[in-house]
Amino acid sequence: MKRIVLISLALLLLSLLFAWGLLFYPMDSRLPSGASLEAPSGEHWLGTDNLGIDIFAQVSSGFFHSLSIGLATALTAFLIGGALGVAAGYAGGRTDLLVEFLINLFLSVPQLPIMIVAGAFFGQSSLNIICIIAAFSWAPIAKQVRARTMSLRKSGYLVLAKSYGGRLWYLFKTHMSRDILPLLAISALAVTGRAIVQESSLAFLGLSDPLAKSWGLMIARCTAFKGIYFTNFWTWWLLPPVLALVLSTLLLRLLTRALESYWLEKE
Amino acid sequence: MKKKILLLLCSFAVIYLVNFTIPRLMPGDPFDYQSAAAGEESSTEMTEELKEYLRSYYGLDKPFFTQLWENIKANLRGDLGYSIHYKKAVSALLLERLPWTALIMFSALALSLILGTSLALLGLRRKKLEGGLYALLSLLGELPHFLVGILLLFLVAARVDWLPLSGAVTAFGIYYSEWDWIEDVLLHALLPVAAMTLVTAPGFYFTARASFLSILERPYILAAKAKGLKEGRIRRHYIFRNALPPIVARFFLSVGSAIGGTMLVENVFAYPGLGTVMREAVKYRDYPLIQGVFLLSTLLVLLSLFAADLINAAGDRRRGESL
Repeated sequence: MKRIVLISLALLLLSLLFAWGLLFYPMDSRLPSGASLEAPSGEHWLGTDNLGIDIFAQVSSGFFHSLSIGLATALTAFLIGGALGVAAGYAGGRTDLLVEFLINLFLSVPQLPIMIVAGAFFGQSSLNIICIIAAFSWAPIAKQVRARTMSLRKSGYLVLAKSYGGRLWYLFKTHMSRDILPLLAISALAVTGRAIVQESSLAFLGLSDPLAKSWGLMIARCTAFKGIYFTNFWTWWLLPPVLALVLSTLLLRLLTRALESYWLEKE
Repeated sequence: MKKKILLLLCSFAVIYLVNFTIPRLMPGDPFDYQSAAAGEESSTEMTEELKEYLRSYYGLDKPFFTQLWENIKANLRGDLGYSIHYKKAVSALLLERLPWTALIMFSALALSLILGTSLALLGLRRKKLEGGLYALLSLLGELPHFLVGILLLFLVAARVDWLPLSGAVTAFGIYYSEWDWIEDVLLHALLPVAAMTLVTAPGFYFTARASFLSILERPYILAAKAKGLKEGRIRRHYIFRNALPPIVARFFLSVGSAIGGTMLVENVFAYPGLGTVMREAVKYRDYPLIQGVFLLSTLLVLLSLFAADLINAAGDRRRGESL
């Protein structure tokens, strides 16, 4: 429990810092506000990039871009995975066979190549990126929920409630949600972290929304800058987005782990 | 087992169909991009007649199922089409690039297997070390491959003289012997493989550790100890050998994520494998090439999944006999 609070606190601090950077920091994340490639100073906390745009402002807005993509993806995956998992686990028979096949199919396709294919073909808006990542994140959730529902289905109270004529939605609401929702929520949180990484991978390959200030795009632009290896520009241009990305995914992952073990202990 | 094979065949059929359909649903056309593809400023645009001619030349104006059937027939002959951007047969291009990707991926996986298993063995012997190792590796395993690659590139390769920054061999390099060439290739592969290994090894550590711990609880270990066998002998012959199948199965299960990681890491180091060719293909909307890369990687992953199933089944059978 203590660990959960600590990690959540760290995440909160991080998002407060970036919220401050987004709302009150005087520099703009889209327009140049200084000379090209200025070193960090009091005015530009983390310096500027080759176009003279402030890095801290970019990293701050990148945080919310990544987080919103991650959360939207997680929500979509949560809904699809939860619905299919419960339906398959509860109905059994042909529905189950079909869903099981779909789960196995989506788990066996190599993720990145198909996301590159889909990302390239369906255009590069943020909405498309969310749909694509969600399409390849729901399967593990559905697998877990399905197994859980199948074990619940045989429990006495569900059989009884069903024999009284309870419909699936009612049964889920009153008898299954307490067991399944925490599992779903934890898996969805795991998806958030993974989606942030996947979005930045796609952005790094030049496949995300080119107008959004995402971390992956910053990294891609910096590494593509000619002669970047022979200067020290990368210390303030490359490291902030890389470290922000590493830190936020690690914190999310740790939070997921802590919640998982807390929930397992409680059972 | 039969069910597994059926599942794999069905999966492949679905993926093949999707792979065939997606490019035909997307907006845009390779001929819209061709004039810009040469990389030079040119404002020439193709006339509608020329585009029509090219479409029929590449067979893109035929009905869907005719195209599908012709595609299957051609693929079975080993013909994956003709790359519109590279102006080269896709199969030849893939054969040229696949060895580089395979080199990076399989050496990274093999190294991860060795490293992860040895660390797990070490942790078994030294309990004090294990706590720190566990925490460190569980963090390391969560990092994205390409970020580790970028960090290695900037923190290591850019600082030392003897490590190359990009490519698979020195451009216009002159070699006095085969060893020179091999040395050059290994030097270029070092950082990409290191980036992959750092992220992949933790997974092997956890699998190996779990496998060792489950073997330790078996009655035959107790029996071996009761017989007074030496620690080393128990570790080698009783624990290590029986714990191996899940670890080897993980090697094949990891191919799916490793191939994605390799593609990204290749782009970090401008390594001439499938990942860089995929990026180029996407940039120029080169349908046949994208389809080819995707088909090849999917085939590779499905075959590895099948191999993992075989190993797991064999392991189960052995365990069944031993009980």
